[in-house]
Order: sequence, then C-alpha cells, then structure tokens
Amino acid sequence: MIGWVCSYTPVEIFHALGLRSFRLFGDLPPATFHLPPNFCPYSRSCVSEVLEKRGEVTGIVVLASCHAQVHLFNALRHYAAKRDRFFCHLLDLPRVGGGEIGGSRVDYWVSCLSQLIEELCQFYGVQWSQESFLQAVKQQQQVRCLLRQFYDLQRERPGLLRGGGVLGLVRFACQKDPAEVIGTLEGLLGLLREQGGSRSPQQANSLLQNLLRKDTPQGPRLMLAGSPLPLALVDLVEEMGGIIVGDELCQGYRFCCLGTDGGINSLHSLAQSYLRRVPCSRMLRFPERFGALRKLAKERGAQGIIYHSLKFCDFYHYERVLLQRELAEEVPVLFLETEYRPGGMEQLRTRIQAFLEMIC
Amino acid sequence: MDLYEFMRGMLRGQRWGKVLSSPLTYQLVEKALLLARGGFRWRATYLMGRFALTQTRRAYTGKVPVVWTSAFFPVEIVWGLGLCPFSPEVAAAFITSLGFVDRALNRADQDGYSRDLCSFHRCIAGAAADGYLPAPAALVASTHLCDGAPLLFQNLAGHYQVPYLLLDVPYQSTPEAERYVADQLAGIWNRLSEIAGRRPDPSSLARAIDYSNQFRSHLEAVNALRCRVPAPIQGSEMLNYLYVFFAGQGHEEAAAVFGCLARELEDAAGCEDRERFRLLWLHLKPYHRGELMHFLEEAGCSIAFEEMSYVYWPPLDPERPFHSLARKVLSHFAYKPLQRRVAVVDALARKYRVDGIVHFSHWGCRQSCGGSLILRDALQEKGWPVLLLDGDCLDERNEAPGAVLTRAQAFLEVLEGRKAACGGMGEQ
Repeated sequence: MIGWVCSYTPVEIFHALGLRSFRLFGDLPPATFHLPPNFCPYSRSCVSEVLEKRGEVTGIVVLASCHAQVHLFNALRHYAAKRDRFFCHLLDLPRVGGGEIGGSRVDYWVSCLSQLIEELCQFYGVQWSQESFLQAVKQQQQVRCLLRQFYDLQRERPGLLRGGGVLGLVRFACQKDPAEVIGTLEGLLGLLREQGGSRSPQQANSLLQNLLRKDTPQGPRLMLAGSPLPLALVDLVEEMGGIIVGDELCQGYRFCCLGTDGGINSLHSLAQSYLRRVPCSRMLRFPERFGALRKLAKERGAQGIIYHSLKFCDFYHYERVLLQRELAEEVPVLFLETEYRPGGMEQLRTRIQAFLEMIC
Repeated sequence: MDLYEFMRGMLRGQRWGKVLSSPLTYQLVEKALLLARGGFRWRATYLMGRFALTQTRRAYTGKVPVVWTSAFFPVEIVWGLGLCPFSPEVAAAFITSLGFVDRALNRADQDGYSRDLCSFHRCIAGAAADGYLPAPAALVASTHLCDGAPLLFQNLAGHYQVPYLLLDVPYQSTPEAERYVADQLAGIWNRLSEIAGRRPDPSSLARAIDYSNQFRSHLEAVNALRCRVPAPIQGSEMLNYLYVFFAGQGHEEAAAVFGCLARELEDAAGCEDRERFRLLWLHLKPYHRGELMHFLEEAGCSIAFEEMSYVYWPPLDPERPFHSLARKVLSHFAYKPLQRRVAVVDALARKYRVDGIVHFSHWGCRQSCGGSLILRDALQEKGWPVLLLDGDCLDERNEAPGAVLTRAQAFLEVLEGRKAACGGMGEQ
C-alpha cells in the first residue's frame, strides 16, 4: 500500500496501476527523534503514522510542495527505507504564476509523472495501460463529484451535517478503494435523501451516524480555511454553536475539485487539470486564491471565516498577514494556530466564543 | 578590525531608520572606510565593504531601478540589465550587526508576523513597514532553499505595489527541469527589462556571466588555500561576506573581492595560532551580539570551512546564459534529497580535516533545520561528531544563550576525548 500526503497527488496514477493507496492524515503523536520539535507537526505525525504502519505501507509518494514535505520524505527515506524494501518518491510540483498555465510547466510536470509511473512499474512489477488509466480517471471523478454533493447539502441545509463529518467523508474517500467509496457514498446520499437502496448500507449507516448533527444549532454560518486542522477543532466550533457551511481545506473541499471535470484522457490533461485547480497557499497565487475564497464564502453565506494555521507552517502564517489586509474588511476572520493535536482546545474555546459573539 | 564593528562605531547613537535610509550615510561611511582601510585584517574586507556601501547608496538614491532579490536568486540576471540588486536578507544581517534589529522585529510582531517565522524575513517585513528600505521597482524570488522569502516577497509586492516575479525551481535536475528553469529565467530577464525600461542586451548579460565565472574561480582558489592547517582565515570571517555571495555574483567588484582574498591568503597562510579543534560550520552564524562565536574562538576552535563557501555549481557558459544559470540553481546540494547534502558535508569534512561538525540551527529555517536530525544521524553513522546548536541568527529572543554555550562546551569535551583517543578523524 502506498501512502501519499498532498491533495495535488494524482491518485489516478496509483489506481490505474492497480496499486492500493491511502492518504496520510498523521493521526498519531508527532515523531520526536526524526524531525525537530520546531517543525511542521503534521509532517512529524505523518512520519509516526508510516513508521507505525510499516507492515502495511510499502511505499510513499511525497510532493515537494514545501520543506516540511521534503523532510518528511527525507526522514522516511532515511529511517524507513534503509531497513526495509520501501518505495520512496519525491514528486516535483510546479507553481503556476499569475493564473497562467505555461506550456513548459505542464510539460515539466508530465515528465515528472512519467518518471513516477516508470519507477512504480519497476518497483511493484505492474504495467501501465491507457484503458485502466481512463477507468481510474472516471472513477476518481465520480468520487469527487459525490463528495461535492455532500458539500452542496452542507450549503443548502446548514446545520444538518457535522463539519467534521463531511471532512471525515473526504478522509474515507482518500483511504479506501474508489469502487468501495462510490458505493458507500451513493448509499449515504440515498439515506440522506430517504431513498434507501444503499449498496453498502452497513458502512453507510455507520458513516451517517457520524455525519449528522445531533443538535439544532442557532449560531453563525462559518467557513474553514487554512492548513490541515485537527477535527477536534471543528467539533469545538460546532459545540459552541457555530454552523460549518463549507471549507477550502486541502483535506476537504479542495480535494473534491480539479481544474476540469471532463476531458482527462492523457497525462497531459491530468497534469493540466491538477495545476488549474483553485490553488493552495503554497502555489503563491494569492489573488486567485482569495478570489475563490471570497466567492465560496459568498455562495455559502458564511458570516465568518475560521482560518487555521499549523504551528511552524510558513505558508499559512504569511498568508494570514495578507488575508488580514485583503479580506478581513469584507468578512470577519478568526486566526487560530494549533499543533495538529486536540491538545490546547480549551484555550481556543474562549477565542472562538468571543468570535462567535462578535459576528452573531 | 571588524567591518561591522567599524560601522557600529560610525552609527552609534543615531536614529536607525533615518540613518539607514539616507544615501548620505553610505557616502560618509564609504569615505570613512577609505581612511580606515589599513585597519582591516584583509584588504578584501575593505573591498567588500566599499562595494556593498556603493551599491546600497545607489539603491537609496532611486536613480537606478532597484530589484529586490531573494538569497539564492541568480543575480547575474539583474547585473546583466544594469539594474541595482538589493538583497534584503543581507540587509537584515547588516541591520542586526549594527544593533538595530529589535525595532524591526517588534514592528513585524505588531503586523502579525509570527515569531516562529525566520527572523531574517521578519526583520525585513518590519523595516519595510517602517519605510526604511529602498523602494523596489520589482521583487524577484526563487523558490529553492527557502519557503519564507517567496511568501514575504508576495506580501511586500502588495505593500510596495510593484510586480513580483517568481522563479520556480524544481528538485529534480533533469534536462526537462533545466529547460523549465531556463525558460523562466529568460522570461524574468525580459520582464525586468520592460519594468526598468531597458533594452535587454545579451552582451551585457554575457559580461555578467563572465564576472560570475571569475567570482567562482577566485572562490575556488580561496577554498583551496583554506585546506592548510592551521586555517588561514576563519569561517566566521567568511560568513561576513554574505553580500558578495547573495548580491554580488555577476559584478566585477565581487569577483575582485575574492581575487584579492586569494592573493592575501597565499601570503598569510600559516599565520594563525595552533588550532585546538578544527570545525566545519553548517548553515549561517549568529549576527547578533551573542557570545557563541567569541566563546568558540576563545576555546581554540577554528572554523576551518563553512558549507556556504562551497562551490557547488559548474562554470557558466556565456553563450547559453539562461541554461547555465538554470544548471547553477538546480545543482545546489542542499536542494536535493538529503543524502546529497550528507555526501557534500562528509567530503568537506574530510577535505578540510576537521575534528567535528557544527550545525547552527537557525530557528525559522525549515530547509536547513528541518533535516538537521537526519543529517546528524547520517553523519554520525559516518563517524563524525556532530553538534546541533539551536539558535537564531538575528533574534536573540529565540535563543537560550546559556544552553547554547553549555552544549558547545560539552561538544568540545567530546572532541577533546576523541582527539586524545585517536588523534582526530582528519588525521586518521
């Protein structure tokens, strides 16, 4: 099984090669002996996760999206790969300036993807075929489309779904086989629309329990933005009465959207589709990013944004300053910082409470 | 006499912002520097100071378009257009050495920049917000080796309302990657010429490339002379030449600095006192008034070499400037999977016959510090004693001076023990 981290990872490649893959969410305490304590807590937790699941995980594909990810790769290559036969690949990710997709950027990324495929084929003894690629693309598009329907529900019926529940569905979709995900999500949507007929009712039922809010919230409508966050933070916001109506998180809505939903029939169009999606902070395209955030907040009627940054994350700490300047006059923003752990939530409680009172 | 000590003496008691942003300051200091040139240990230091002061004065006069460049951007492009590069990271080290950093950092704190970010960039953010840095015509950042600079420049482009150009550097060094970077460099060259209203002149760029090659060969000569035992020049002194490393490549005066230093080292070799320990220094050093460097010097440590001075790139081809600059950028050993840095550090440690390796872990640097534990483990596996010193190059508040000195002391004891047991790895 191959682990991956960033939502720019073209998972279609793994599926096309028939390789099982799963996204690392770093739900374990951060590694302390491999990466320094003043370093991205998410990457440190991902190191722990891979080392913990060493029996299951046979390789990892890390995108060179920031130094935290690069050193995650370095740590795994040094500590995991030297003892076992372990696939380690660092995949470049070109930045696209000014919203333009320069030909050379796409071409460069296609060359990187081709190299990844070659190395995967060599390591795992699998073969690439256009037919399985098209099938994988189709399946993954369906997964993303189904996930977006939950986000639509979150917008249309605020307070029905738990914010953490929707993020949990994205997690589920990133960790399971696409066919299983499609069946479960369809079943779940059926249950939500009271149509029944789920193809995997048991799994859908259990997910449904986690998805629905048990209370009737009266608080303000909020969007989540920024770097990956602990789900405990989302629960805390809802516990205080906030209603999550959307997010623009890498581990959330952004995973569900590509630059295009149709016409992916080659590595070139796949690369283009990933590079054209609404960028994260790392891509250094803040006008486009803030434009999309503004639009999303408006569409979803958000009264405020909870902007989260992981401690020691340069991208979101710098963006926070910019956000304050560019967006805070239009929509109230609460900046929160965590170490990607549920610890310290009580300190955040007061700040969230004050923010909710302010925007109510 | 130390250049910064000289500058501090000149500027003591002045209002920092006013002083730093006045072209007159640099003109006066330049004149004073000329008078005091005999007091410097190396004439190269005087040449570097003169070059830096002239260019900084030029930047503040506003007569020539100023282009801010991040630390590892190939400035040959900027010199080749006859523009004035300004390296804010070097300016931050300079501000710190003059003792003015606290005010800039406080301003950055007020503006929302987290203390966990690199203090070089926070210092720039604060000084820029206070209006004390030369106004840029454009900002150019490269993405390799530093996540912070491209982000800060993005923020500052909005502050100054000027174009922001980005050089996106991949990790791989494939022909496709080289083409990708070369295309961007050509684009940046054209865009900068438009911004500055200058006609791009390939012969001027070829000249800058030629100067850059001279810089490279003189630096190699300096490095070769530094193999001598005892070390003819200290790494802590070499780390004061930041300006020529980050802003000078492509200018004849930067090449002249190391040309002069090579000649001086030739004559000066062997003049240092007997060294107790020879060290290899990784990353930068503290530029504030902390005691670490003084402590090491007093303890008889000689910084025989520092990775900053390592010539990692091949000579440039003036006929293919963009491709060869792309190759230069892509060949940086620290912007590769970490084994490459381990191999380079190991080779340098052997070449300079050091007793131990010190990694100065600058608090906000994700690139260098992020890999420090892996680097330490890999180098220890190769038999090297390694000390990771947690500190901050500029912000003393992020440093625990007692702990730093205690760790340094303990490390020297380890080195002493090893030396007594086997005579040091370099002598094996």
